[in-house]
Amino acid sequence: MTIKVKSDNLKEGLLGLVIALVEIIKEVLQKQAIYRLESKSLKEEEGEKLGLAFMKLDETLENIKKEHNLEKNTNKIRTELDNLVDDNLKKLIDPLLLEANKHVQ
Amino acid sequence: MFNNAFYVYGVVKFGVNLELNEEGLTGKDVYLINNGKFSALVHDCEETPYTDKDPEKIKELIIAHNKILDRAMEDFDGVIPLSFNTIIKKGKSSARFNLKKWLSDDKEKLENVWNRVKGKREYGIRVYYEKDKLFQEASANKEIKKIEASIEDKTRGLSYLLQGNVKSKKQEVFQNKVNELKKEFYEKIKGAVEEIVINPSRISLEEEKDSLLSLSVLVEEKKVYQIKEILEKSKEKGFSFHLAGPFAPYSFVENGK
Repeated sequence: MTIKVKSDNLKEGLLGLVIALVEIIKEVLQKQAIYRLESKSLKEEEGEKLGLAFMKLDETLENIKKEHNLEKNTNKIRTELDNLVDDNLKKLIDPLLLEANKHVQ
Repeated sequence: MFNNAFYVYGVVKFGVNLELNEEGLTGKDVYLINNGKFSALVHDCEETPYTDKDPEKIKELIIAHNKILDRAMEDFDGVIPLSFNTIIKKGKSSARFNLKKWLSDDKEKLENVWNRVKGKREYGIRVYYEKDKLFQEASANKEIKKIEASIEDKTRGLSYLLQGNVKSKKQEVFQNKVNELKKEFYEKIKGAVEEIVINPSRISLEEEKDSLLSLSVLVEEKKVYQIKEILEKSKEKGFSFHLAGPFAPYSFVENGK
């Protein structure tokens, strides 16, 4: 599968892709921070600083999306990325798909 | 003079050469070429595959291909369908020789597939659900409420960070509920059919409805009512569905299964 970037407006397509990737990386970092907070390897003060940094990053990303009218485009890219992961990874980890594949072989 | 090639629609278990009196792609006469127990449904063609710049024309060709398979399912109580544009060409030997050799060489495989698909049809089932409603129900559980309560007295940054945790927990609980419902449907439908294949359910960009599960099933025509009953019952729980078919059993003859 290919990720479709609008060819008639390369700037918009590329910026949408970059925003989508930054959002995904931010979510991974956020999860890691929560995990470290729960396991007490991150102090509450450090968590506070990180939380504020994530908040500012989210605000900045939202502003860029609004300014360049990218909300729809970014969502579309993220959905396509989700489908890409689904196509390749879910086949291996979805227990129901595994069960069904066993059944037809 | 020998044909250049044969366009092959599918294979049936029928030991006689026969004219079908049916028009295939572009009005070609379709007939059977037999070798032993099996016969291929063919028309005479050139070696180049069928194609067209106009997608509508290609659609027409595929419809004509499937029409022959539908007819074969009725007349021969089953068919092993082949993909659109399956063409057997001549090589060192004639196309007819190559076709007969294939029927003969693969007769055991064809026999296995035939025994599975004989008298059965393929149906497509798609089940839809109300995603927002289910998300609300699934995420209103005690564990999530407890986490939400623990955030209330936190500082601004920490609270923002932990909100992300609530969001992912809600998503996790919701996903578990979806998997549970999928399994429930799968088990019910499995009990009413011969074979079942789960099609990867993708997040849709255009469809308004949220698809819970997409299945292809192989079923005896007389048992289709059981599937309909299961699906009709699911409406009471807020699900909707789309049942399509009957089709030639494409999903059950691929990859040499």
